[in-house]
Amino acid sequence: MTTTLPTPTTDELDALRELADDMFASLVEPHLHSQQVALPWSPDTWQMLAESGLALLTTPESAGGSGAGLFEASVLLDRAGYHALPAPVAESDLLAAWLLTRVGRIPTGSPMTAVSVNRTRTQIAADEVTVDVPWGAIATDIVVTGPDFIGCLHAEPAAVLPTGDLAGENYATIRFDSDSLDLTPVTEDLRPEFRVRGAWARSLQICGTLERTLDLALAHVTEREQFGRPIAKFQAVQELLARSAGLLTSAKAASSHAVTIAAETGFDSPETSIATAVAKIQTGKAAVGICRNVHQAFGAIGFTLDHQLRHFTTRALSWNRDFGTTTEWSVHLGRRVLESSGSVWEFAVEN
Amino acid sequence: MIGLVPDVIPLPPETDELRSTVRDFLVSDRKRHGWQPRVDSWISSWDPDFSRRLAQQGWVGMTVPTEFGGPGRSHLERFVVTEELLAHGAPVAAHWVADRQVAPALVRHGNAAQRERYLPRIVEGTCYFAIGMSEPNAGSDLAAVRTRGIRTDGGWQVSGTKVWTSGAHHSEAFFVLARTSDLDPAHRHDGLSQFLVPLDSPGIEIRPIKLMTGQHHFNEVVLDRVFVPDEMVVGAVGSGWSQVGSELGFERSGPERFLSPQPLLDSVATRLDPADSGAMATFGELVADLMTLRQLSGSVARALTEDKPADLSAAVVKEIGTAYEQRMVSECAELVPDVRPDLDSDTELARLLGEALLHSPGFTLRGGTSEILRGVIARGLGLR
Repeated sequence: MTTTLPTPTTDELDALRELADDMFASLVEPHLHSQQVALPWSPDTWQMLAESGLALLTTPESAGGSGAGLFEASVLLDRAGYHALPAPVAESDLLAAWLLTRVGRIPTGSPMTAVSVNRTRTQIAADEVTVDVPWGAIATDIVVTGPDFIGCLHAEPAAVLPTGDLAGENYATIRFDSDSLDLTPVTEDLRPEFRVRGAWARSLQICGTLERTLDLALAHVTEREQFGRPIAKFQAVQELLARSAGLLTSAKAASSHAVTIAAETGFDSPETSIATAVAKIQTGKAAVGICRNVHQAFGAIGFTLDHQLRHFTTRALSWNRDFGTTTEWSVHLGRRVLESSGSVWEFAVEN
Repeated sequence: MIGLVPDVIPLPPETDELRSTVRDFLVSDRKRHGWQPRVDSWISSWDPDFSRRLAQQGWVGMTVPTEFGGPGRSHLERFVVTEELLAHGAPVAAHWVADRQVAPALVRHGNAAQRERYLPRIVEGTCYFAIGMSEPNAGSDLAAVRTRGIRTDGGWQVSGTKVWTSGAHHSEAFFVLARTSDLDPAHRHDGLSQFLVPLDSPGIEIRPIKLMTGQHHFNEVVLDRVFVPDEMVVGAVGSGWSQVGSELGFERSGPERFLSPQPLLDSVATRLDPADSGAMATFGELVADLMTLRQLSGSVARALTEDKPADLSAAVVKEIGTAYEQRMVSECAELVPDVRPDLDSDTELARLLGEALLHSPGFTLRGGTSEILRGVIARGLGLR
């Protein structure tokens, strides 16, 4: 498990960050200013990630992955968010490959995605299932987890209906029945851990993409002049960005804590569930607040298809809704506090 | 964007034992001496006996090095002790300023005479201080102070008026920021100095300025040609601004910037129904903020321990921490609609809610308003 992996050094993480920055920028920058709503998906992108060992970063080497830990994964996801990398890195590695290896299967190495359904084996045998899946439109394998099974979906192309989503993340509505699902029974319900993993990954991706929106805004307000001076000189504009910096600071602190806890205790621990709840709440609040503030600072310029800003704000707002919203995680956290034996303060300190 | 706050690293495990010792002490001390948990206890709960008992545990002036008669503990250890004191609403106001600002300032900038005179008694929990910075015409614009130090034989003659001086009527001495050379409009922060002035000095008059609760914590302190000997100048003459600035890391990032109304949140939580998902959404979000602020504030305490500059990160923590405090109070008020806030109530929740609502405006004012802090942050982002 993750707990046995050595903690990477700062130099190692910096090297990974640099590699990801260079590669993702070269893949994405050429498309940021094109008049298309979504960034294009390209199998070549996946090929490049796979060749660099970034496609299945935390998947064990025995299953075709790179066997890295969650600190490395957090850097990758943060950078993927920063560059709006159009590829299912979180879905393939942390969700689909994890589920497959839980039932002793080896991922093929193609882009994958995964989804959790509230149906048992028996219910699936009786009735067709329809679910919305991020990256469902391009994934070769779609791994499905229910309360008592893990299955791999060989969906007929006709049953995969690409749908719109805010950020161009290639969502699809997928229809399947028990015949198209290659299913293995499991005794443990992995859906709670699935949700924690998804929320954890989205928190890091949101931090990355919000950092980019803020970088873009800082550059914009120092260049854009009105009333004869850069708009950065106006207190009202400074206030928008100072508040945004505060929101991002909270989001990053909570996410970085969730990374430390997950690396130490694994994704299935109660501690990681709580730390991830806090991270998803903070990144959700930051997504809403920063996107609002940054669009305000950009004026009409940032509201158009001409400008790259939208790739980052729409991702933040879209990811914010995945794997539990701010409110859903807040309710979860509030109940956990009341279930605990001590005071609110004791809960805050122990977690 | 540059990282405004140092990386979050969990508190070292050895602090757990200290924390539980502090908790045990607080529970038994409260039982024995009967103090009530308070919102803003670091401003409003003045209790010299408690300060002495706390000092006997070694928890006042904790970071004063052993060579100056202190316990020589780290800022992280002080952080843990302070968290527990505030979360329990303990009566820490008497020694608060001495512990938080004066002791570190004397360790950093003080001379031998000042250290000998004050540090051992600060560590004993018997020597209390106030801070004289704001003036009637120098609030956020602190460089506008008009209190003037004029060179005289063997020292300085200081005249002026300080306001919002918490606890001056109970304190032994106060730090006074004064202008010691003429204002240079191009370099407004030059020419300021810090003096250590005993409050029983001839020429000092202390008048109460009551809070909107009716309570007396603030004062106006008038200095009329008060003689301050050279040995009571803190640090270098003319370096007052940078000295005050270096103290802000301690003043702005501490647990009092997110825990001032904590007793209210704990009291309200006992009334909540987990089945009420609306209440749980509000409550859970507040707890998430509390947990994140702890981590941020702790990371600044760690930077201070390592003697790294922390004024920018402290400004960020204070800005978001005090905004949380205000939001927490207003949300708590909504969560218990049947409770009538009342400062004099025998019911703890009603009293805490009253204190919290009336103290709330101060959260984002004291120690630098949020508007000033956002200016500091904007400068840190390169916008100024």
